[in-house]
Amino acid sequence: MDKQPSLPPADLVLPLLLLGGIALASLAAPLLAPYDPNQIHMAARLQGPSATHWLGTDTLGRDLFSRTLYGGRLSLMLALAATFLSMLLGLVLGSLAGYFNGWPDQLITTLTNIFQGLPGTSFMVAIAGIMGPGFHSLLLGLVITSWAGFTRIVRAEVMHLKEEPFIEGIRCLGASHAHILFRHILPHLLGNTVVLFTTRAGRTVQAIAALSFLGLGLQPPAPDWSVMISDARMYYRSSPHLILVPGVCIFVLLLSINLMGDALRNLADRRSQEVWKE
Amino acid sequence: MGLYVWRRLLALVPVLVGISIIAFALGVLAPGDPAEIALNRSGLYTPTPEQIAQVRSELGLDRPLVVQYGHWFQNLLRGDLGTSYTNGRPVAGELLRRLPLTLQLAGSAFMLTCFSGLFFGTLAVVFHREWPDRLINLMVNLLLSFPGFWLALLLILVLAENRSLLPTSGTGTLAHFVMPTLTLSAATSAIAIRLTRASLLQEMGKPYMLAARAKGLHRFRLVATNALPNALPPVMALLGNYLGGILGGSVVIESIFALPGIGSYAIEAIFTRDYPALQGYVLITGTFYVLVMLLVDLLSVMLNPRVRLGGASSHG
Amino acid sequence: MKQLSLVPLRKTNQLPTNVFHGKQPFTLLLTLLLAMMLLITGCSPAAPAAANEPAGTPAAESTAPAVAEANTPVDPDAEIVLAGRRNLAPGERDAYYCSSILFVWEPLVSQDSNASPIPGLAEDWEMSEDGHQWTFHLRQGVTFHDGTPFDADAVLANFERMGGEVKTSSFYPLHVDTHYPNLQEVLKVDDHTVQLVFSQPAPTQLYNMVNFGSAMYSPHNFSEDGYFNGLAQGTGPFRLVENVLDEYLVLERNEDYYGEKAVANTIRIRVIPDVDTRFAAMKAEEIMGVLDLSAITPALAEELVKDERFGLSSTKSTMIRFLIPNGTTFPFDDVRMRQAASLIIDRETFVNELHHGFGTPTTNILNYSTPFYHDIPVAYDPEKAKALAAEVLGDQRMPITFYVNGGEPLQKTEAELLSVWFSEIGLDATIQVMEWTAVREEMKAGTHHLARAQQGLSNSEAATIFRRFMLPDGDQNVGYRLGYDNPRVNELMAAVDGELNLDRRHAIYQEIQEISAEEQPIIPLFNDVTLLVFNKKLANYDAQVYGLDLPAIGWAE
Repeated sequence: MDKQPSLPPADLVLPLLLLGGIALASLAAPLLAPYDPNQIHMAARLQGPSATHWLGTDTLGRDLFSRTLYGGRLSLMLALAATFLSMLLGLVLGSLAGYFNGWPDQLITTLTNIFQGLPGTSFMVAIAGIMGPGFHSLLLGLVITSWAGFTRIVRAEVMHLKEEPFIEGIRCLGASHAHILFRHILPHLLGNTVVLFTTRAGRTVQAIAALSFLGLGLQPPAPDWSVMISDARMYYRSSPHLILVPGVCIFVLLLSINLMGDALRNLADRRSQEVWKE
Repeated sequence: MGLYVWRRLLALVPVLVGISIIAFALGVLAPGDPAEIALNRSGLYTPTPEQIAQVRSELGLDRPLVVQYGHWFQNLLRGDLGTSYTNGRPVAGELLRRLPLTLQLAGSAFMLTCFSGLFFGTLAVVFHREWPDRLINLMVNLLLSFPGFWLALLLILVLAENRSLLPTSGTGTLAHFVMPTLTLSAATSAIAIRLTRASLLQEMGKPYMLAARAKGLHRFRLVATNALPNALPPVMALLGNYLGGILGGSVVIESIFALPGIGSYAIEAIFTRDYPALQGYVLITGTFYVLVMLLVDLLSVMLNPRVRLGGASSHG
Repeated sequence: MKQLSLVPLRKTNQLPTNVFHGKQPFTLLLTLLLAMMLLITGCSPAAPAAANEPAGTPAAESTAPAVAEANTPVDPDAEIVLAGRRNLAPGERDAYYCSSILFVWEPLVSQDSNASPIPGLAEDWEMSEDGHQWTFHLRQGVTFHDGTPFDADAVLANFERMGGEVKTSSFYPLHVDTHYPNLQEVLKVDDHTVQLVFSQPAPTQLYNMVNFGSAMYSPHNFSEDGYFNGLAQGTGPFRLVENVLDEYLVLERNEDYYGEKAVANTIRIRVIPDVDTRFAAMKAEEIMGVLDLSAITPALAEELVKDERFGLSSTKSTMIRFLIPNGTTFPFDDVRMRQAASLIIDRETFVNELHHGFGTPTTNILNYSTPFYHDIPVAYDPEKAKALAAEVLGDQRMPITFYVNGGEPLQKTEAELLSVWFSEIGLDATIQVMEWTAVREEMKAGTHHLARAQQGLSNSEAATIFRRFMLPDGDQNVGYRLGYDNPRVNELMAAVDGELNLDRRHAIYQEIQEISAEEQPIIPLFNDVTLLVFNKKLANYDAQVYGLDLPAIGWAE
């Protein structure tokens, strides 16, 4: 059996480095990019990697390296904002619903059921269709379709938790609802919330990519990884770098988000860490 | 228990009405004049204003919204979801015709999700911090990190286009379902594994497990028979959750693999602003989903009776 | 711990050696990625996937049948599988049931490759001196697929059905007024002669009624509301025997066909909406060819024919691709700004680079497939464009909104290129990608400065296009907010209505086309082509103006 010392944040290092790298590259894109990401050069279309264009050029002769540097900005911002907003909603509403019985629970559960009943992808597409595609409609669509999922899981967790003997004990001791909720229940949710946040952030990036794939993602000429992939769909067989470079970027971004979630969960799970230490 | 079931059924009513309102609102809010769309499906020809006015009144689009909703809802209760603007066929019939395929797809993806979730999740905990756990963890992260459509394209490119191992698209044999099922369940399987694992680990840390462990039970038995039943409810809530996700995800998958299910119907409906079709889709998936959630709920009550009575607790 | 890496690696190594062709590193990379994915379902012997999924079967049973056929002698009657992006037979509730390219139904008047009217089910015709009556002599000895004879009564039944409400369709809306303006009555002269009587002279009636304008079905084929009561029963070389919506339809050779019989015995046409998937199906030899509009994109077609198993065929189409300037508001209400925008577009580069040369640059509003088309040289003059724009804008820059249709993957790329050119004449475009219907709504509301559109010809009568785009009350002129009103055009169009002399008509049409190229009520980009790809196992796979000559195709020797 491998016995590791009480888990150094070794598994945090890689995802932190990756995420930090992506964030840094995105922030410093204007400084690092050798070309204007939107500069069209028709004479140099669909070129492979070279000394002048490190990652080659796209269908309009734009520098792929420069576009890739810029490409994570919008998706990252969008994913973070949407996940954070829907998680906030989910935590508040979910713990209210799970903790208090009666009408708050019923109201919130009903709303949750309604909104969870909506088919996510097509609802987002519909919103993009109604509002016009772009940052705002994506954000709205993402929040509308994901807050309910958070709420439902938080509610289930809280309901489960509050039946635990230790909570009942605290209640018998006369603790206020707020005290129980904020001091005893929410901290217990932390572990799962972190897991949820990371999986959801990952899924949000996925959802944005899927919408772009359907042609309803972020708007041109803004360089964005998902948009770059969907733009390159007709060309990737002969110019694979067009779809590989942004694809690998999304993959690495998702992978680091997921690894990060793992690492954080391990930290939160210290209690059950050495399950089989007999 | 009977009373609880009735209460749950009653609670469904506002949910279903809410879904119907949202479905209706979608149609109203969407831009595009359905009368004109109905007359100009190919985009190659533009009808005259008189033709448009005629179709508008035929479709009842010139009446107030409340009247339109009331009318729509009445028809709904009779199982009439209206007729498609684009091809004049009844939406309900069209959805029913396409539903089996989507259910087949979603069902097999869902089963794959459940099996792999429970199996690998349990395995990961049994071998906690040993190599199978790490391997499973790696696999989960990889699965989660592949954009779904990208995975579908890679599968088609490598397995079908270059090697002809599997059919690229369409329906017919079981082989047609392999790639769509794999892609559709990839992400949800990963999440299911993860949550099963997390939930089990949490359970393992509880005091009663210490006692059980003290009895010297075999690891596998300990996890599968003692921890799993208690760890299941949150996992089930999630799995039910992701059935919705699978239904939604089938939109992209059906379009890539040319599967004529309700997902590709919805995409067509959105692209052509076919409101009745879109409404029907939202309504049917919504209703279906709500019913599944009810089932999940009842199941989890059966598995964990403490939840059933709501607040006023008490157990033996 | 060491097993951790060894076990999966051994598995991974197996897959690539089987799968990898040794062609390109890209395939290798994909294969490796894929192998990792497969590991997930296959890595454990106890993987539950096998229980429920046929994960083990594929290699054994589903190898594409076409590959096996290569070794056996060609069976001329073997089923041919093709694919298109949409239902070519939308069914009973469609005004036409199926597209003309299936050769199930036939029109009274057909058209040749120059879109000139040629005999269809009507063998011969004549117009009265005053242009009020058209007499059609029907082909004899023709029967519908259901056995009903084709005669004057059948024609009358079809005309009766065209009256009443507008019938909707995936192709063109069907109404008698569209194809037979000013029609008063339809008379049966004898069993094989029919006369159409018009209240106004109708000298170009033939052009109005080609193809979709005079589709003929068995009189027993109609439901009470004028749609269909079952599979379409036409007279064509193919009969429709099965139609499973969104999946496939099956055509069989009509052995009783009066003319030259179809070569293929059975043709199955699948619906594969996604162009990328159609490409994959071609590669895998699941389908032998693609057909219909937007069957394949130029880039994918070029990619496919790099593989010598495949060929491509292209010909003129009736489609013209253009930009819609909002002529009711600044700056495109000024003709000089429209001219500037047109002159700054390097159409050669546009078509050659983005569309791989499939298309012909044009500044003429009329599509090149009609016999009335007049070839006008395409001007490209950036200096003049800048000068004209400066006259309108002064030294200001102007932000403009540019809508494109998200349903067509290339339009976005086009718009990015166009907006770079427009920025040279002081226009800063914001590109908005939307669905076409949403774009139309925006145009009705007048929020656009530019929008990208296309126009097909529902018939080959040029006046239809001029009327709709260039007359002040033309529906496209109004709906797109072209704001175009030219007294000379109005005068010419008024003259056309009574003009019986075809030469004079030609002259009028030519002048209008010249005006359109000069004043750019719309900014044409290029005339489109019909582009098809096919597997060389098929012979005679030739693109037509609208589709494909289906009866001619068959297995190659």
